Amino acid sequence: MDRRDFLKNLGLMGVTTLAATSPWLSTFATVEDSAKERCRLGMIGPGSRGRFLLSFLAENPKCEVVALADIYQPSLDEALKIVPSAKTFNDYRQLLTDKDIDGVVIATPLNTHYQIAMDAFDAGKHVYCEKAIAYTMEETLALYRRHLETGCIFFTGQQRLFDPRYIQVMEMIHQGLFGDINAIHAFWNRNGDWRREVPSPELERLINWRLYKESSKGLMTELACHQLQVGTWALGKLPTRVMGSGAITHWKDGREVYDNVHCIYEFNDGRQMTYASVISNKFYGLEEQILGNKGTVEPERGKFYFEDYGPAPAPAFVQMLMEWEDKIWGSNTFAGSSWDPEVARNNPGEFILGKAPETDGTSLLTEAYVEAVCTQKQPPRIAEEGYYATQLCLIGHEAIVQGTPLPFPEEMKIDYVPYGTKVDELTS
Amino acid sequence: MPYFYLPSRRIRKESLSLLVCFLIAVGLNVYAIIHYDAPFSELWTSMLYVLEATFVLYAVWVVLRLLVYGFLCLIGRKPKSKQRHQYIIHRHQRGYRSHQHP
Repeated sequence: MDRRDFLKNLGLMGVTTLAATSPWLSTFATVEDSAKERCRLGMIGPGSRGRFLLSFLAENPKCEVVALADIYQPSLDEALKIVPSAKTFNDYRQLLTDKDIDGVVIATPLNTHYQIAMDAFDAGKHVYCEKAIAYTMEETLALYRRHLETGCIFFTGQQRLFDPRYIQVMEMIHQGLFGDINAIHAFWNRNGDWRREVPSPELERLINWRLYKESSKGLMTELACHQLQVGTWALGKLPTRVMGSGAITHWKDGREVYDNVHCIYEFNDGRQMTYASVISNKFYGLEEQILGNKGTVEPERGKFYFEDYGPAPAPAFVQMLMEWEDKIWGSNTFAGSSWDPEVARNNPGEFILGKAPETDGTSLLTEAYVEAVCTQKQPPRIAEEGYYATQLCLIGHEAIVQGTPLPFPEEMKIDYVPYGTKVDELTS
Repeated sequence: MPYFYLPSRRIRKESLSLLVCFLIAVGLNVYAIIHYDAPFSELWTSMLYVLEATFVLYAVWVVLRLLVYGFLCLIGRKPKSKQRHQYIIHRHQRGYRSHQHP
């Protein structure tokens, strides 16, 4: 789906509605004005994820990827197949000295994000950084503050923010179509060891960086980061307390990060968001089940389900007769009907966009970044969404490690405007 | 073929009974619609159920009366209706037409 189709799909919602629910989309409002502008980008870390992003950037007529930096030559070689004219560097700092480069895309291992992004801001470059944006909560806050100080564009790899089905369904949630959202069950299950092929043993920690503590926090930073942001987006607030548990229960192959994590994020009004990730069973896959008293949303499936679905009730007259019959002939009711197995109902639901999902928003996210770099305008709240997504996964990981519930630290809170406010400011 | 005579008074009485049963069934439907918060269109759409209930109620009423009749016969007391029925048959057999205008 390109931007034109995307905007057409969302056109029915109106500017005010979009600005309230997904204000970062305002970046597309200037597309026509910047039609002749073009930006030059550098890619730092064109590994598998980096090249995925590169494939979208290479097709974008408003940007040119002019430089690539990586310490692993095979990654550079693969990336050159996508952007053959790009200069290559083995040290990202050399790339940052190029004054013709407007912004960078960082897709390196987690523990390197902070330093590279800080150096990029210091060099006056705009930054798109893959999630999670930093290895510690302190680094995350420092990075966000540096973005504010420099005024450089700051995007994070939260592609769901640009996924049409999420945008559409969040609007429906905030309108109250699904009633009170009292719980969110987010999970991401796989059945695989999460390993990449390593050509020689000394490259193990470099290539399989996701599996080692020094460079990653495992499932929480690599997977949970996406889904926790969906929870705060839906509820329009941040959790106040986190508890969690994790272990290596299946893949005992020398890895240092958990292959089995469960967390509970508690909000100030008692509502809860759970997160679970197990990589030894893929039956339930990934989902964020948003549970309202009137309906359920499963955005990954691209579907929603109303509670009152089911066969039409019998006429009142028949219901009354059945009730009388039950009273006269029915069994003892002292224990209620709790014996009945309340298995999930066979509700086919409806597609959020009227059809099965086709895109996950990554192409539009990269397009929005290019647009923001061209226009030099930071879209509202996008950096904040990325900031909190990272903080939530990091504090979840910390709760698991410490084995105790942790409050969200006051000193880590930034100005987070609840959804639905400051609409005038965003649309004026 | 045995002689069978159903006087108009009886027909009127039974029709009235059937009407009362129908009204009770309609009343029950109204109660059910309110109780189960159903649309009032069910007053029409559930008419078949209401008619069925009407005949069931009427049948119950008939059975009830037969029981009472049988009981009264059993204790040797003629029910009023039987006394009157015999009187009418008697008059009919004799060609008694005193109530007719000459």
